[in-house]
Amino acid sequence: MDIGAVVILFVVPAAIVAAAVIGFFFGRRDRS
Amino acid sequence: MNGTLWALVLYLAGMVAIGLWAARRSGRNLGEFYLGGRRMRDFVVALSAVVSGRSAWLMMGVVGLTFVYGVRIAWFIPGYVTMELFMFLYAGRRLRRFTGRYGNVTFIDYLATRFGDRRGVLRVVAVVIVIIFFTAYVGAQLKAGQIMFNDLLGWESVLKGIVLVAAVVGAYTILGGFRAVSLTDVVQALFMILGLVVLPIVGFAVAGGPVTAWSTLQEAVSAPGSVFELIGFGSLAGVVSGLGIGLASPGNPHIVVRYMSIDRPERLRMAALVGTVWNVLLGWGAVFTGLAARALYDPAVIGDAQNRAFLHMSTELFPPFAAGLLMAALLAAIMSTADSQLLVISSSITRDLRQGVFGRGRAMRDTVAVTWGRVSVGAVVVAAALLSWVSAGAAKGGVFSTVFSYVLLAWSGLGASFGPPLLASLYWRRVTWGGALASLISGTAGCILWVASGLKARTDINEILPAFALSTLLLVVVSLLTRPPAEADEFLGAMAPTGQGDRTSGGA
Repeated sequence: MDIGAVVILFVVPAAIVAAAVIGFFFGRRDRS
Repeated sequence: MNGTLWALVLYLAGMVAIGLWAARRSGRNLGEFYLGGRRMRDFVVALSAVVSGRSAWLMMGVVGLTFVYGVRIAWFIPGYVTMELFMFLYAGRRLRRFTGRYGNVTFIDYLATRFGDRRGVLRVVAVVIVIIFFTAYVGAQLKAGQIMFNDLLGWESVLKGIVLVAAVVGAYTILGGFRAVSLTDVVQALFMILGLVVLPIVGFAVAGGPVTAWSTLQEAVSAPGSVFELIGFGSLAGVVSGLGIGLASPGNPHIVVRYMSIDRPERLRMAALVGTVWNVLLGWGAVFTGLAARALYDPAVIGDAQNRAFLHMSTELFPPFAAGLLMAALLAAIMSTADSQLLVISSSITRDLRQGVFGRGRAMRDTVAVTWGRVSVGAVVVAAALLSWVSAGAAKGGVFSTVFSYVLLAWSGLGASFGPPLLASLYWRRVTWGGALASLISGTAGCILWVASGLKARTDINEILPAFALSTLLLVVVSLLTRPPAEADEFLGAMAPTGQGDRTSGGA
């Protein structure tokens, strides 16, 4: 199995979605 | 009429119907026509911002190039997805707060206010850049539509497909303005996901399942290197260039203006989550579609494989009506981008040029302003169709032989010109009017010269990287040499969160 291909095809998109989830739950909230 | 055509006709009629529905509100004033009254919901902004940025470049270009060159094309995706996540979460919120407080309706409106453009020079230069790149950008989308219709229906005429796509996009944009464009974007986002998720799944299944398809791909050899070779086009430059495409996202006004339209800045957090999931599914869906095509077909057998992989796969694997829906997904990518860009050019002409420069900022009567908006959308769509028609014959075999390369120049040109001033305006107190002007001009010139001089072809480095670097350098140097605006503190303060939950609706 080609590790590089696995990284760009699966690991990178999963990491970006994880960053979006973290940003949503833990990102800076505006005061209300 | 066969099933494919029925599916397409239904889709196109649906788009015009949305335009008719949205027309009830869009004519009230320019704020409604160009920004949906700053009342757009989070998921509408999320999907609209994402699909406005993902055009035929993704569904024809990325799919086709992955089919021919393999996994290395995936390097084009993470840069812009990550940059747009940052824009949703941080920069977009600052921009929305400022534009709400100052009543800015267009992207250029914002730059003019933030940089204190009293004589209108910055506005004029920005409008010229918008017209140059966006007319070509819309032209490229129309060209992609023409390729699709000619392929599907066996039309010989170059003009027919261009006119059909231009007429439908023009009709609903003129009728419903920003609201129609955003709502059609939501429907188009659903079609695009359908296309880029269903097509690779079915493709891999037909190729014998994922395991068999994976082995087929590993055996496939494309020049240069195998389908799985990661370092793009034989060099590190390919990887860096691919990732660098993301630098252009903040400078593309048709995406950025979406953040300005949300009802409350705080809601951009939810838009970030929805938009990023959509962006990831679309981006990697396109890569997997190209790989599935490669597991099924030999690129040498399909004529013009870099443009036609998606079309070929849809018509080969699906019955006519389903293939029609997949074609509608491609049309969705084309139209969701073209409509947003038409509105940006039209707003630049009406709000920035007619009202801001020639009208010296005096308000126009609402009905007159919206009429200007509608007429300018019509004029621009005709100009883009003509450009597309003329270039369809001339571009064969040249640097712009693929929709991909045609779009990349416009995307990069806008990104290098507007990206550095926008980001600096949101975070850097010291940036000045002169720095912004130097950045606009050098970004545009750098991009065009990099391609025209042949340096792009020789180095494998996309135009965005050198042009963005030059534009940023001049922005910093000229800003440090000139006097900062007196209102810098007040402006940056207007971007900070307020104590009232940011319910700034703004006027206009």
